[in-house]
Amino acid sequence: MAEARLKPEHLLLKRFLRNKTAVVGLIIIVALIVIAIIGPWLSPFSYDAVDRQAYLQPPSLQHPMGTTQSGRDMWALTLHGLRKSLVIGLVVALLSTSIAAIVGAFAAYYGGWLERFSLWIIDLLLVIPSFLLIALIAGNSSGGASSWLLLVLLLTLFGWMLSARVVRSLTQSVKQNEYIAAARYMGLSGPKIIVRHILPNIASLLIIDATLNVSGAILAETSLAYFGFGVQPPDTSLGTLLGDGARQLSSFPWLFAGPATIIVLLILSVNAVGDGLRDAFDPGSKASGKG
Amino acid sequence: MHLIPALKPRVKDKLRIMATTLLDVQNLNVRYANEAGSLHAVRGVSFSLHAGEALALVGESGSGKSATAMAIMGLQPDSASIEGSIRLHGEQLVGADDDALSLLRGKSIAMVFQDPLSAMTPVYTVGEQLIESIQVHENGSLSDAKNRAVELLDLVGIPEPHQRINAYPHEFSGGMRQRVLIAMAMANNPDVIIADEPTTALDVTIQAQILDVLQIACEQTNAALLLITHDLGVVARIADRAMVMYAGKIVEQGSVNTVFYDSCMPYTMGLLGSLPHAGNAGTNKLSAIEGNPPSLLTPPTGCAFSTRCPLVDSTCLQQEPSLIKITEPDHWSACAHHQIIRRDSLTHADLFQPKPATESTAAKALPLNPSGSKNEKVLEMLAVKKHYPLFKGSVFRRRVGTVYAVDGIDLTIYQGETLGLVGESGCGKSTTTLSILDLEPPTHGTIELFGNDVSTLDSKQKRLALRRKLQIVFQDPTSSLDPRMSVFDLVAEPLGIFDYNPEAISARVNELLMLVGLDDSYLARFAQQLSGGQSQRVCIARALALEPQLLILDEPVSALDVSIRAGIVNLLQELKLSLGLSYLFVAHDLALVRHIADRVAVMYLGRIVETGSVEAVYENPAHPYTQCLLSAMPIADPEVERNRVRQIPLGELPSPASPPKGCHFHTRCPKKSRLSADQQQLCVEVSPDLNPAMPIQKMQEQDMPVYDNHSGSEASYQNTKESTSAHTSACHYNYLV
Repeated sequence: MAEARLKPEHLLLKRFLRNKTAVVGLIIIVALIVIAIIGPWLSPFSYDAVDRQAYLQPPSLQHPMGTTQSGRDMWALTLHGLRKSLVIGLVVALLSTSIAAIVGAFAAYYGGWLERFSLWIIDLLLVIPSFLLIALIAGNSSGGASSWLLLVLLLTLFGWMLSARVVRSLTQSVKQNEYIAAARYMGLSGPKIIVRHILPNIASLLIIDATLNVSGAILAETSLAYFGFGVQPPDTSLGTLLGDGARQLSSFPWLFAGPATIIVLLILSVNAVGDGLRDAFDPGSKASGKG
Repeated sequence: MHLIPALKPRVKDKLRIMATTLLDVQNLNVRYANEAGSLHAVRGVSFSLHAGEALALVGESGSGKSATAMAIMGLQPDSASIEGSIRLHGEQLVGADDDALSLLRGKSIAMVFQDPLSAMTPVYTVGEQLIESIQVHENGSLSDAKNRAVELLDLVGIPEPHQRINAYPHEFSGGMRQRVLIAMAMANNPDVIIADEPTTALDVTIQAQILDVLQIACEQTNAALLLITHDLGVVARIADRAMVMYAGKIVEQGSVNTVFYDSCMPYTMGLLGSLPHAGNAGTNKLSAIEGNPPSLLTPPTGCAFSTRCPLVDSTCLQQEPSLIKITEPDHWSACAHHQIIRRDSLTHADLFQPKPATESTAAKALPLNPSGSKNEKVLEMLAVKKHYPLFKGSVFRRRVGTVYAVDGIDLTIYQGETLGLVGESGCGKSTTTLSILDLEPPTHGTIELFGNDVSTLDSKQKRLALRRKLQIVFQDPTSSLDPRMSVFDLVAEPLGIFDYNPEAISARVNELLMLVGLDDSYLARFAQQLSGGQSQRVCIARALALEPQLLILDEPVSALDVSIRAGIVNLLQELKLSLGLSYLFVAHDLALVRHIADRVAVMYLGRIVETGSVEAVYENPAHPYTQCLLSAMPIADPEVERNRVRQIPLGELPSPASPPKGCHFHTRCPKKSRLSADQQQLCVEVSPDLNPAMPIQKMQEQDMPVYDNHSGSEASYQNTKESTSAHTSACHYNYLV
């Protein structure tokens, strides 16, 4: 009878593949990541190179997406912006999900003052108007090539709390399982129990959470950049490009159209994959059953 | 108790309509679509239910019994597809839409579910829910419905129904809620009541009460009862006819007496034989049915039971035997060898001979534990109390009370001995085991493990060294195995903590799996790929990994199917002999404790009320609570069940936060009512100590140690403590019969 049962991974894959939107989303994300990585070789121009023959030119053979006011190639800029946005999104998602996992799991496992203190911090960070604070700090920083790192840290700092609360409540329910008690009575220490038994069992949430955090971080960076508080020039991101392009949308639409299409595609795909993962992990969801 | 007026004439007609068929199920097939394919859960089930009868549908989990019930109610999940015919009063239910079925549900067919905790909406009062179920089908006034609800609550034995009707479900205990659910099922005088494992979630004393209520309900409404259960004792107690289901098919059907006494299907015989009972208490082994039920994803070609059947031959494998009428009037069985069984009048003992208790694999795999004198105490608990404070408020937490979870108990376990700890849920059994395992000093008293007082454990190393001698096997094997780990990782985990090297771990894991009867093909499997019995074997292997001396078994088989239980119990017995283990066996199943334990301690509201050798306690129970427990215990023998005189404790277990003063049991004691007022006064005021359960003369005759009789003094306490094997009982009137 055991042979007839599917391994958990196969089951996940089967359920995930059944969700066509998610599969398309995954393909788009992979394509975008590949394009971002090989970007510098896809364009004859560097993103910060200036073509003195072409200021604010519409798309042409030489510049497939046109040029900016300062004569930079839009195609090269979009590729670079995509790369930066992806890096920001991935790093922020990874960091904030990790923080959320650690804080949430430890708070729930140990309980007592640690839990109360963690919840206090979480609540405090939740009531602070994070957008304003990030805008102030990022806006007043000296700028330069590493300014995006500061942005990543700030986005992480204000991005982990809700996930941590979810991790905490999930840990509380996983903790009820007798295998946790069994591990304790085997002599396993608390941190090891968390790493070995609790986190793997809430991994599904963590993966979904990280996926959705990617799009959250990209959007947050975009809106900051739109108001001029994001990645500082000459470096650029999709948000910065959008912000610049939006100001001249009616007269020079190519400045806006490229980055906007890419970011919409990216966010939609990430969310589709996140939803697909959630359905695949959750056996009670609609995706399971008939098939 | 007054009857519902409308019912009276119908009761009189009971005999007349006995023969009419209410519910007729023909060739019912239920399939569930899931990831792995189509699961054929019910495969061609046909039966009919007559007015006024109680029909039991018996089977293990996955046998399709609940799927059958859900199909009748029309409550199957969307992924199920149903074929065949279900007729109620000749009206076809298969294919009827939900609105049409809603008119029948509650009105003609009512259902009592297994879990009373989740079968009521928490935000409405019990009365509102009961009135709702009345008014759904009747257009009476609210006050009529309310009067009816009070009547119904009275009928199912809820005290003070006028007040209790305004209570919310959380204010009721599990047993009370199940009574309310039965009242709801009765509300519209249904023709058929389907009870799906109605007492499985309840304690044995409450189970006895609920079965009585269920019988009253059926008599009052003259409804036919379809009882779905895995408990053969319950079947023997309540049913007129029984059907045994295996792998989605009915394999035997007949009157209860025929099925229990003249079965000719090896599966039924094996089930009955695998139960521990007074008859096989002395022998070491239960006759277990080997193996597991087949998966219904790929329907078997031959007899579904052939892989586990001792009578199997080539005819069994060719085609699945169909249900054949064996004897008149109504005994059907699906076995190719029914003639042989009947001709030679084979019994389960002929078919499932328990293997002799050889020192088989177990003894070869491991040397005996070195430490071994019989008189060495592995555990000694003296006057242990474990109290939990009750707090209220979130900002300014204030103490509002105390839960007296464990309130002064003494327990001793010697090397190589099994102590059974018995009691209802909420009596403090689990707190006792946890306070041993925590290795923390209790609120009061001392716990000594292997001669070390746990309050002297000051370093991590000392604690860890003690930890490995003490392991636990939990009740629910699936929840005690991490679903993300393979069997190898699971069993190896404790070894990793104590720094074994990789080769030693690998060798030891193989050895352990062999010890618990699994081969190394299981190493790479995950918990979901194991059956319940296999999971519990892995749990046992894991617990044995560090060569413990004391194993705490917390209801180790109660989550398993009947046919699997015997195998695990045999394994535990075998391991105890070959490894010299000591067990603390916590259970609510008294028959099982009798089978496996050497001594038994009965616990009630945090105290031990009776303790002694298994023979003494079971043969001559002295404490009224023990007597109640034993009398409530269902026995899988219809004749015995029908002729038993029951002594059932009154009401429900009081809260351990406010235990009654004096003797904790006096609020429920059936003996108390037979005492004089002065004698009763003593019960209410003074808490009894454990005293010899037999008169002194009789003890002297039997050459037993004699103690100072109940004075509550320190001297008698000390004496009792010294000889733990004596039969003692905490009742002021031990000698009064």
